[in-house]
Amino acid sequence: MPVWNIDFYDEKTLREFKKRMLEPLISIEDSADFLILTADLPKARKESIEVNIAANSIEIKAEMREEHKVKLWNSLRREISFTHYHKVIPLPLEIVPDKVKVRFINGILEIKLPKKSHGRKIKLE
Amino acid sequence: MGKEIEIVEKENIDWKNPKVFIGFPDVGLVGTIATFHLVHKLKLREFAYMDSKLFPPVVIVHRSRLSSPIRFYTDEKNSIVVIISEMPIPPAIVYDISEVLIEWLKNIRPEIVVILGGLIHPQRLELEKPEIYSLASNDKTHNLLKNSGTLLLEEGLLSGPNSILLKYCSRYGLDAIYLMVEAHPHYPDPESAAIIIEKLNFMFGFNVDTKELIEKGEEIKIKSKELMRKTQENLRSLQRSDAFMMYR
Repeated sequence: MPVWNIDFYDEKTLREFKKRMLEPLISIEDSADFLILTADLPKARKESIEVNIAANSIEIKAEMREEHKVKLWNSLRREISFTHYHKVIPLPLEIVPDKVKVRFINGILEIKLPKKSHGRKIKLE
Repeated sequence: MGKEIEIVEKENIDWKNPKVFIGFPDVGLVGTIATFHLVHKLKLREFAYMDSKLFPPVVIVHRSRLSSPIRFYTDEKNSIVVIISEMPIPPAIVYDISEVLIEWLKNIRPEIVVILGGLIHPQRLELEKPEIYSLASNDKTHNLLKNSGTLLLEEGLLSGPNSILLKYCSRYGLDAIYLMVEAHPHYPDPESAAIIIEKLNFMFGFNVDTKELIEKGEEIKIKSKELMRKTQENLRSLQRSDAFMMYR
């Protein structure tokens, strides 16, 4: 099966090649009290997954069970191998790092991030 | 505008009502993964491609041969046509591509056009067996779907190249169905592609093995990562254009 749509002029692809680490596809969804961040980590070794949480960013690292090779042309290196995932994701709002929940199902990492509440409830009179 | 897109045929084929299968990149890349698998498993040959100045200026190189991102394949008997796309269809040219395709399809008089795609399921991670939803271009194919074991889509809003193509099939009197399998909204979904191929096996008497899609699912996901990323960007701009719809 061909490698679809690799754009060797794309900034993200060049970054991946330079670091020799794949950046996973990610998505962030905003629900009422949480941000739900998912990352697609095919071939990731579950025990190797590291999630480092700061107030306004998340870092995801993982080792792959087997290397992923990409053939190159117009280069001294004919092939490049990837063995890790790495991505730092800035968060759109502040979260509560202590209450974060993480699970890994079918190669997808799901991180549930409680939003930091800045307001207070006001009762209607 | 339509003339700026052309289908370049490398062979002169005498078509006898082939079945046509189309899968443009959309939700979970289901259509793309499924059509690639059909081409691979049925050992189909490329007989045409689509070319246009409106496409991104790229050529695909595969086994040292030049190729186009949108390609047409057929079998030895010319009984089926599979149209694959390795590029997300830019929203600005969806109508033009659909018009050109419909003109070509009218000429080859297909027995049926089968459009393959995905339908967003927000809880895909919890879903063991994704369902297939379907929609027909006319009464004849609507009846065909009644016995297909798919769920007829009753209400909703569809966007993107697959739905516009179905609309054009309906408008120009082509028998067509659109099969949509529940899929992950953000990531390539080879498992859902396998489910839609199983449905094609059932409906059209194929015997296409789907084991490989499951076994090599992770490899497929990594290889299709960039296509998914670009398809997502496309889908997001299509969703923004849905904003005028009233709440249903």
